[in-house]
Amino acid sequence: MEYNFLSITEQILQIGVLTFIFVRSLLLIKRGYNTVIPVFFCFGMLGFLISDIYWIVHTVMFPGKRIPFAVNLMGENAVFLLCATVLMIVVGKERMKPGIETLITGIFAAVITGLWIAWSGEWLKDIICGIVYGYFLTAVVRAVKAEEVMSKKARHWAAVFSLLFVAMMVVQLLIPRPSSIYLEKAYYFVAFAGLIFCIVRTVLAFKDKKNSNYLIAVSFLSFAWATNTMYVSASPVYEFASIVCSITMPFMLFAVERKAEES
Amino acid sequence: MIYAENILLCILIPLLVSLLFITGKAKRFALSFSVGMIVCLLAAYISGYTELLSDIDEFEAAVYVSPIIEELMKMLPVLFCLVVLRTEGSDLLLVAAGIGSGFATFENCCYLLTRGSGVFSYVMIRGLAVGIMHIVCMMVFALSLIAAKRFHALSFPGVFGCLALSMTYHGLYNLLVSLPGLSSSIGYALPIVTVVYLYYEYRKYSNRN
Repeated sequence: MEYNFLSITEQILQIGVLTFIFVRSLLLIKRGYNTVIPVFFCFGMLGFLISDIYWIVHTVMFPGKRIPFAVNLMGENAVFLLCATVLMIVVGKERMKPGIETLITGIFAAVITGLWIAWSGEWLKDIICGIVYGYFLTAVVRAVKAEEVMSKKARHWAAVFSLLFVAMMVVQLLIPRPSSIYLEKAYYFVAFAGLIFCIVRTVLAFKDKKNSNYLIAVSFLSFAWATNTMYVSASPVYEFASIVCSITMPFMLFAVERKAEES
Repeated sequence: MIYAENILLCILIPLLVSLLFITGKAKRFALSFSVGMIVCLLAAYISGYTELLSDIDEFEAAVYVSPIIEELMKMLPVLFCLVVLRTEGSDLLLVAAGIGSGFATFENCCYLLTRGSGVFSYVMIRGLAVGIMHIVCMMVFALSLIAAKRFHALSFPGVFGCLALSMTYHGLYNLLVSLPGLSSSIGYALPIVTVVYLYYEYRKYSNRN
């Protein structure tokens, strides 16, 4: 019950942030920046907003009832697909050619999807969401490479870090419970360390007044890692990761605003 | 128990005959309207089949599964017009409006025949809420496709992202109206408020251009 209260509080906070982002991006479109980037970004955030409202309404109307095929997850899929489209438009398809990074991200997403299935047992829902999420992650990684958000060496370290992260989760699932607690704590530490790194990079990029493409790539990377941390965490860490995820969202808005104003 | 196929034939035949004597945008709208009704029947078949295959009951199918199947089915003819027939701009909006209103009309006919049309308030709710909701979803979807096409950004993830947004909106409506009380009232108001806002913005945009 305590965690339910925590979940609702966190969702209300996220709804507040998403409403702010939705209104700001709508105003951006109305100010005449009605290019496809603010439109798709606005629609993506609207999908997330409706998804959160759906979850709260469902919790209030049918407390404790399981959702067989979560319609609210379609809203989250909308965010990932539309954000991936925004990245494709900003960076350009020709500069986002798939490479070894795409393959590693694909493996990463496949393992995460496998873990979701192992945890929930809902394979259809998890496979659909896993494909969409994997697509979004590969788009982010390709944008990070194209905009040179990280050096080649840093990208290699990030790949090692990510594979280590999923390996820890797999091992944690396989070993018996008392021993797995330490590993669970270790991968939470790794996830949040990555998240802090991404947020600091994003803040520094804004402070250094980098170009809008760079800002979009780095802010979307923060959001992607925040959602990743959220999706692999159990309550109450999930709620904490979700709050951090809400903090990363306005950075995406500011980057999109910068892009719209520049263009 | 109603025979939905027979009702469809009864409504569809005069419309199809009228197509022989009308041209231009009227013909396109009548054809889209007919397609919308056919799509509604197919969506009902698929929803029923899904219900049989999985372990969900009729209520769960209506609230959780129908929005996904209905929006997916409505999207297919619009996408066909855009990709194969190269329909663009206001013509695509016309097609989307036709499919949405055809879908809503046939669904309303079936509901009224099943549950009766004696209660005026229920009839108005069906018309104003459900009917409008299908049109709103289609218009938002078509507008996003037009925007994407205009800026050369039409892509598979973009299209399915917009579709997922329509599904979530539809799902929220179905969830809100699934229980009587305040939630239902909010649910019925949702498509009306959305369509008024959408119309206002659309008129402003049309006048500006």
